[in-house]
Amino acid sequence: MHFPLSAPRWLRPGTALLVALTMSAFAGCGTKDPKPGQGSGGSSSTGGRSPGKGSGGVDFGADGGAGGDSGLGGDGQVDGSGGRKGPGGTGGSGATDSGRNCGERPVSNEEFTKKRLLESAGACSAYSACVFSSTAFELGRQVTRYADSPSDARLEAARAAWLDAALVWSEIAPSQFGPIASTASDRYHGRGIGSFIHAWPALNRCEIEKQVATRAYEEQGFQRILPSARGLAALEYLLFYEGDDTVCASNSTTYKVWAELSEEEIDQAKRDYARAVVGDLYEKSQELVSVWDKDGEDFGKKLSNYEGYGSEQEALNVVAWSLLYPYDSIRDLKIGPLVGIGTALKNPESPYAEIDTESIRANLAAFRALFQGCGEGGEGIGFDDWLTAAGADDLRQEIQDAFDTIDAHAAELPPLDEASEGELNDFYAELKVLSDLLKQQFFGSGSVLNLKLPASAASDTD
Amino acid sequence: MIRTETYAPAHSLALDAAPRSFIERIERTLLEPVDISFLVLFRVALGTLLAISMERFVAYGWIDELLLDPTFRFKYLGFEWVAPLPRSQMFLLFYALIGLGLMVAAGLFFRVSAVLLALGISYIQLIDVSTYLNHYYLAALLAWLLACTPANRAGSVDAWLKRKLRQLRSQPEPEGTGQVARGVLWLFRFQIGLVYFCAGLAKLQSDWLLHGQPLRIWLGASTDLPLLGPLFTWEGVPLLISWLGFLFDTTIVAWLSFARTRPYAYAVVLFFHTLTRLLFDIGMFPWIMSACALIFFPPDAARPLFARLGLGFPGPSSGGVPPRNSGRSARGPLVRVALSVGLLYVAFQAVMPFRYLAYGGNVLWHEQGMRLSWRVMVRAKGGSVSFLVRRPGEDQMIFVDPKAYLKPFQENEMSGQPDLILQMAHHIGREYRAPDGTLPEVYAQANISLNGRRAAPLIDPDVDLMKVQDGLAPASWILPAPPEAPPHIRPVL
Repeated sequence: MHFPLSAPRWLRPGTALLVALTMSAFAGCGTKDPKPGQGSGGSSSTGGRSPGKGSGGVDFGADGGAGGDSGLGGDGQVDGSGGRKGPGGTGGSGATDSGRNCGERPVSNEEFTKKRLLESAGACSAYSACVFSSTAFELGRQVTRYADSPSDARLEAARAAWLDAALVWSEIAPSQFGPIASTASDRYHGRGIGSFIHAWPALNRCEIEKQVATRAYEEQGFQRILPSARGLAALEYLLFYEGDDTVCASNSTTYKVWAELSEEEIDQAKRDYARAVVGDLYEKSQELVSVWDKDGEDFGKKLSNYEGYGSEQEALNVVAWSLLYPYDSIRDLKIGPLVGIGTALKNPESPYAEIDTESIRANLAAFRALFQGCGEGGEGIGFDDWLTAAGADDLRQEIQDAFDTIDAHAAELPPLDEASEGELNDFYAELKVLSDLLKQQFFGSGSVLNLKLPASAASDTD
Repeated sequence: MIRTETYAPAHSLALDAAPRSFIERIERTLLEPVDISFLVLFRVALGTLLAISMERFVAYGWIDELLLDPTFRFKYLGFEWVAPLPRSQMFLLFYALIGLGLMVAAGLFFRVSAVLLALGISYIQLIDVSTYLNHYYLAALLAWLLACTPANRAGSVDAWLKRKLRQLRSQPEPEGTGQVARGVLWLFRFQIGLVYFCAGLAKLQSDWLLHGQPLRIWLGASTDLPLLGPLFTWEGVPLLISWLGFLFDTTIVAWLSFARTRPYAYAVVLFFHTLTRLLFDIGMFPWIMSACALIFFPPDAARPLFARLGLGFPGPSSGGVPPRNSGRSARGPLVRVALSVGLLYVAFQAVMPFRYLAYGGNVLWHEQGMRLSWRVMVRAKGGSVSFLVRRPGEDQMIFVDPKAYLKPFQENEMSGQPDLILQMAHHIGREYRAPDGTLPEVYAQANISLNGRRAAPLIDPDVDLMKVQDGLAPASWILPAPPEAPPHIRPVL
C-alpha cells in the first residue's frame, strides 16, 4: 500500500528551511550530541519523558509516552518564531534560538578575490551542515518518539520531520566538495559522508529490507552497512512505504526470514531499524558539522588555503564542479529518463514520499547559493563575481538568465509523475541551455576562468 | 674563439675522394664524423624521461582512464584497426615500456629495446586521437630517430659487453666507436628546432600578439603563484608574456646555435620550461624539451661529464682499427638509403606543419592541418556538442548526447575538433541504423568558444554528417571562424 502523501506546496525550499531553522532551536549545532532534555523541543512537550533509544548512543530526548503528540514539534510544525531560512533561502535577522545555534548566514560583501570565493563556499557549507544537523536532530526526535510508541500522529510528525530534513539535504547535496563529496568528486578531501546521509542515486530497497529482516545492524553496528541501507533513503522507505512485502530475491536469506515474520513483526522491525538509522544519520550530520566547525577540523580554513588541492585553481575547480549538478543530476538523472533522453534509467530520488519536484527546487537553490552567493536572493560572493571581475559579464548574465528561467519553471512544475511530457521536455530543454553554457565557456577547454571539467583535470595538456 | 665541432679522426670514414657533385658534397658533410657524446647523453636522457612518462601513466591511473575505460575511441585516418590490449596485457606493456626506457638509457640490447620502445609509444598514441598531445608525438618521433642511430656505440652496456668480448678474444678496439655521422646530430637538431620554430610561428596571429589570448585566460589560473602570480593581474603583463613567448619560440634555436649566446640561451630555456611547468599541466614536456635543447651544444660538450662519472669512452680520434663500414663503403647503398630516408623524413616534417596553408581560414578554428604541426598551447577551445538523429521515414529528430558514448575528457577533446565530431556522428549513425541497415541522418549542434569568444557554431547544423567522409580535402561542413576579436579577459587575484 502506498502512503498517499503528495508533497505540499508549502514545502518549498525556503519554507522548509524556515521550519528547519526554527527546529534548530531544539538542537545543538556545532556541539556534541545533546544531553537528554537539551533537544526536547521546548517546554511544551507533554507526556512522560524517557530517553530515546537512538543508535550509537544518541539520545534525542524523545518523548516515549503515548501522550506526547501535542507537544511542540510533535507534528513537525513550528511556532513561527524563526527569522532565518536555510542555505539557499532568503536571509533574516537570525535573532532566534536557531540563530544562536548556527550563527548568522555567512554573507560577505567584500571585494571579490578567489580566496574569498573559497572562504564563502566553505562558510556557506558550514552553515548548511549546521542547519542540516538541526533538522536531523529533530528527525531523530520524531522518529524515536514514533518508534517508542507508534501512533498515526507520531508517524505524521516523523514524516514531516523527514520531509524537512530531506529538503534541507537537497540544498546541500549538490555541493560536492569536501567532506560530503565522494572521492570521485573531490579526490583530495572527499570522504563520502554525503552518501551515508542520502544514498541517491544508489538506492537499494532490498539492502534496507535485509537489515529490517535480519537485524544484522544490532550485532554489527552500522560500520558494515551499505549507504543504500542508511540515511534519508532508508528512513523514507521505513516511514513512507506501508506495504509489508519485500523486493529481495526469493532465494535470498532476507526473503526467507521476511516470509516468516508477521505483519506486526515487520512493522516493529521497521520501526526499530528506523530508530537505529536515524541515530546513525544524526551522527553523520554531526560528523559533517565537526569537520566544518572552526573549533573542530575547520575544513573551511583548509579549503580557503587550498590545503591538499595543490593550487588555488584546483580547489576552485573542485568547488565549481558542484555547479554541474543541474546538468549531470537534474537533467540527466532526474528529468532525462522521464522524457526518454539519455541512458539513465528512471530512478526517482524520492520514490515513496514523492518530493522529487521540491527536491529539484532545493537543488536549484544550491546552484544559486554557489553561483551567486548564499545570502538572500544570492547575496554574497559567488562565481558570478569572478566572471564579472574577469571581464566576462556577458557570460555571467547569460548563465544567470538561463538559470532564472529554469528556477521560474521549477517553481511552477507539478510533481514529476503528474507533469506532462511537454512540460518535462521544455524543462529539459531549459536545463540543456544552462548545461551547454557551462560546458562552452565556464568549464572545459573553452573556459574563460580556466576551470576544468571533472575527470579532465588530471591529465596533461600539450 | 668559436669552438669547432669537426674532428679529424686518425682513421676517417675515408671520405677522401674529392666530391664530384653538390649531392656528394652534402653526403660528405652529413657523413663527416663528430663526437658521439651528444648522442649518448641524448639516449640516456630520452630513455629515462620516457620511462618516467610511462610510469606516470601507471601511477596516475591513466591506463584505465584514458586508454581502457572509454567504450568508444576516436581513430586516426588509416589506423582504424588499432585497438587497446586487454587490461592485464596493457599494464604489462607499460611495465615493459618502463623497462625498455631504462634499457635504452643504459644502452642495453639497444637495437632491440629502442625499436620496441618506439613501437610501444607509437601504439599507445594510435589507440585514441582524443589522447593526442604534441609532446607525446614528439616523444614518439624522437624514440624512432634514436632507434635508427648507433647510440649504443659508446657509453652503454652494449659497448661494455662488446669490449669485454673483444678482450676475451684479444681483438683490438675498432675505430669509430666514439663518433657518429654529423647527419645524426643535424637530424636531431632539425627536429627539436622545428618544434620550437613552429610553436613560435603558431603564435604569429592576432589573438596571441594583439589580445594576449589565450594566455590571459590561462594566467588567471596561476595568480596564487608566489611572487609571479600577482604580476599576472597587472594590465599588460599577459600581453608582454605572450610576446616573450613568441620571441622565445621563434628565436631560441638561433641563440642556441651560436657559441657566444648558447649558455645564456640555455639558461633562458631552463627558465622558460620551468615557468611553463609551473603554469600549465604539461607533464613531461618541459623536461623533454629542456633535455632536448642540449642537442644544440657542441657534440663533445658532454664528454667531460662522462669522464667525470667514470663512464669515459674512446673519443673520435683515439685510434683503433677502421670500422667495418669505413672507406668507400661508407657511401655504399645502405648509407645512401639511410641518407635518403633521412632526407625524406626531414622534408615530410618540414612540410607537415605548413599544410594548414592549403585550407585557408583559421586553423585554430577548423583544425585542418592542426595535428602533427607543433601548434603548442595556442588555443583555449571547447564547447558543447549534441547530435540530432532522424531515422529513415521518420519526421521527428532524436536528441543524442555524446556523453552516452564518451568519457568527459573525450567529450572535451571532441568538442573543438571537427573530424572527431564527424567520427562521433558516424558512430551514432551506425548505432541508430534501421533493422534493414538503412542509415539515419545525423546532424551536429556544436557551439564552440575559441580563446574566450562567445560560443559559435562550428559545424553546419544543416549538413547530414552521414553523407560526409573524413579526408584531407577542405571541409565545407565546417563553418567559418567567428570574426570578432577575443574578449579582454583579466586574470583575477
